[in-house]
Amino acid sequence: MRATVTTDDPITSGLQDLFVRHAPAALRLAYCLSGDREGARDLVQDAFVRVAGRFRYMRQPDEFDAYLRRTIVNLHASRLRRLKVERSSLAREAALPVPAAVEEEHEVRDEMWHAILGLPPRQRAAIVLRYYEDLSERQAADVLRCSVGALNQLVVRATANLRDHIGEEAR
Amino acid sequence: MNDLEHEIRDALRRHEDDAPTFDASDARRAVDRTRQRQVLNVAGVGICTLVFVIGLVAGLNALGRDRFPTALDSPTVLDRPCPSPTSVATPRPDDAKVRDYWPDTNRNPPGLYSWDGHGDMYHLEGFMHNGYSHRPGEVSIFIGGDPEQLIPHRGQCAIVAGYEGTYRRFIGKRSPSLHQSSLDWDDSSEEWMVDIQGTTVTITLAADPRTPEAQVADAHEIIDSIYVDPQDNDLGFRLIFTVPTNDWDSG
Repeated sequence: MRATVTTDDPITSGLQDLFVRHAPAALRLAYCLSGDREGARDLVQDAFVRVAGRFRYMRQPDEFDAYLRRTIVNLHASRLRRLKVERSSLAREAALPVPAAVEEEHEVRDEMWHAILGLPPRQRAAIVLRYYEDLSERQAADVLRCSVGALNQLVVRATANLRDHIGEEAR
Repeated sequence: MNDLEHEIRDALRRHEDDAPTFDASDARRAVDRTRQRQVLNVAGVGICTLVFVIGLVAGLNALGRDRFPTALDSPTVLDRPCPSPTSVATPRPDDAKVRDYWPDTNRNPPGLYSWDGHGDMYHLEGFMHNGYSHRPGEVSIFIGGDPEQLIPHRGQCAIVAGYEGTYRRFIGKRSPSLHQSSLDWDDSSEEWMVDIQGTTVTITLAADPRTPEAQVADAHEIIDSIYVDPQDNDLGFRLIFTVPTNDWDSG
């Protein structure tokens, strides 16, 4: 979807164009990482503000995609770290009965999707970057700020975890 | 790509349609927040730059002060108005200990020396320097007297030997009172000018940039120690001062 926004201020107009151009792909990436629609929306907003706020889009316009992607992945990882602090309260909430509507929604989703969302954040990011974003090993490693070897380790561990998970579900 | 990897890719692709879409309000909100962030970032960079520049200037000033003591170091430099000259005691010398002459061209022992309007055997102006120190650089003291010399208004108030005068510091050039001296460097110098009983006494300290701080400190100590001893001579007084080490001579 492409939103039409007009403004007289060239900087504001340029930023809006930038957002319109990059938001759809960024939202899909954020959703694949988080599995949460509202969370993905916030993630993209925050990442865009961070990257464009530092004028990076002016210095290297061609790199904006890469900057935004990296910022989304990093922001998502740091949000998950913050959530760990609230783990005890989340655990209490998880013990509560699941509302019927949510249960139905979950049924629609497939096992693999659930399994991917259950992976540790960096393994999930590695999987999404390699198999959804179709980044090369080098590009994915750059986004995760790790070596190619470390990225491959993440991917191997992630696929092993998914295989185990799917296998257990099948049993 | 193996089956599992295909399955992973398919699962992710199947769910991309679940991803949220955005509308104009999303773009507006993002742009508004970005503009705020840009303003904050620019302001932050400006403040950081300002702090850095202030720190740099302060650091350079501090280095300069370390290298060449400030006006407040010696002998006594005060904000105006100066205290009355009579409020500062003029000690009476122990005549037996005072040498009735300026340090000569040989190595001189530490102790009390005097200036009565004449320097060493070659000069009317008193000149001495750290000639016998193991020096990488030279520091010199000049004392001259001239009844007709006017004291400049520009400068800081200073008390020398109990009398009110003016202190000036010259950075990167020699004091005007040194214009005829044979110094072969043009570094910073300090100058005290004071009216003592109708004679303008000019004391100048000039230091080679390589001079160790301890040697410069000795020079200030000598100037600090100056006091007036009334005499029956052309000036009507002599200046007595303490030379702290045997490094000093007028050669």
